[in-house]
Amino acid sequence: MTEVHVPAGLWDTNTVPEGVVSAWYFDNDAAVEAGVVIAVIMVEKTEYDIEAPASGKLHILTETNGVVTPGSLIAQIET
Amino acid sequence: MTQTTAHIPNITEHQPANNDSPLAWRIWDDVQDYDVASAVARDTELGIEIANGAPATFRIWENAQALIVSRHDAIRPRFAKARQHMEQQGWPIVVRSTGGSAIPHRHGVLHLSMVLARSAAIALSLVDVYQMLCMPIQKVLYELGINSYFSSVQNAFCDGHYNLVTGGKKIAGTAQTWRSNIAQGKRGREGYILAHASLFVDVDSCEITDAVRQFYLMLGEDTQVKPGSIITVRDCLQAHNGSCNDSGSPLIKNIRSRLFSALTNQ
Repeated sequence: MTEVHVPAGLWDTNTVPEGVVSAWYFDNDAAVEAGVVIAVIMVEKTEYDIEAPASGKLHILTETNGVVTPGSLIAQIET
Repeated sequence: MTQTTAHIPNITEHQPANNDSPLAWRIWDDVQDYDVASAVARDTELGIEIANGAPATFRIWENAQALIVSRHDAIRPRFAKARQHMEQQGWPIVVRSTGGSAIPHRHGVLHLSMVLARSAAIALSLVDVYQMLCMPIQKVLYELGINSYFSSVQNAFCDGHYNLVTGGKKIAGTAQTWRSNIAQGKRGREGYILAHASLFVDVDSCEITDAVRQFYLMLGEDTQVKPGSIITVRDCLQAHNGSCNDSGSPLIKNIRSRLFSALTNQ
């Protein structure tokens, strides 16, 4: 199982406590290929693409509009 | 060293004097006469070029009157009606790729876009990118006696913690997008970062704020944005000097020239 995280240190949580997952481009349990954009994070007027770190079956852990912080685990990919 | 390239007009390639950064930057004073949508789309096109190997670029540009909204606004249920209404009021709507909410473009608002490859920016945070984008603007403002800093501003349109603010009022708005999978034949981080700032140089704060408020009212939301939350470079100069001496050239041209110099000399 490969974990999908919001990059650690992406923003300063002292200034902006949290962001949200603004979109998932694949359904739960969908097959994804390594490197494709699977989700978008919205934080502090920034849209940030999240790529699949591996190929496999996507298990979404944070739904659309769910709150995230740097380092948050948002999905797992069953390889 | 600064040199003009032959392939794109009004563009310079610049290596910072201190050479701390491995990036060579193009500084593009973009005076091309676009329609409003093409002017915004040019940033995305630049991103694709840069993801495919073109140098990182600062682009200075202006736009005709339009309301530039995010994709989040564009998927709201009443968007089509709001768009039609605003276009009838002389405010065409363009959807942008960066985050945030609606921001007005028109003559007197100066834009600075910064575009770089994601592969060149692995260690950067969102804050780093906002700082890189705004440093040259802050330098220009400082030269004019205007101290600016990052802050949110209550009742300002498209508010965020990384507005440029002076005296508690917003003088520039900022936003970013980090795109992946852009480069042809590559995957992952071979995309681009686009950061954008809009500096209010010489524009009617009431008119632009009213346009934003109208748009959101049509979407069914009273945003409570207020013109007193916005300040322009002209307002600041008039407050400091009692008048705003344009020295025979429009203020926007003066600021544009100063920004180009700040970028090529940093």
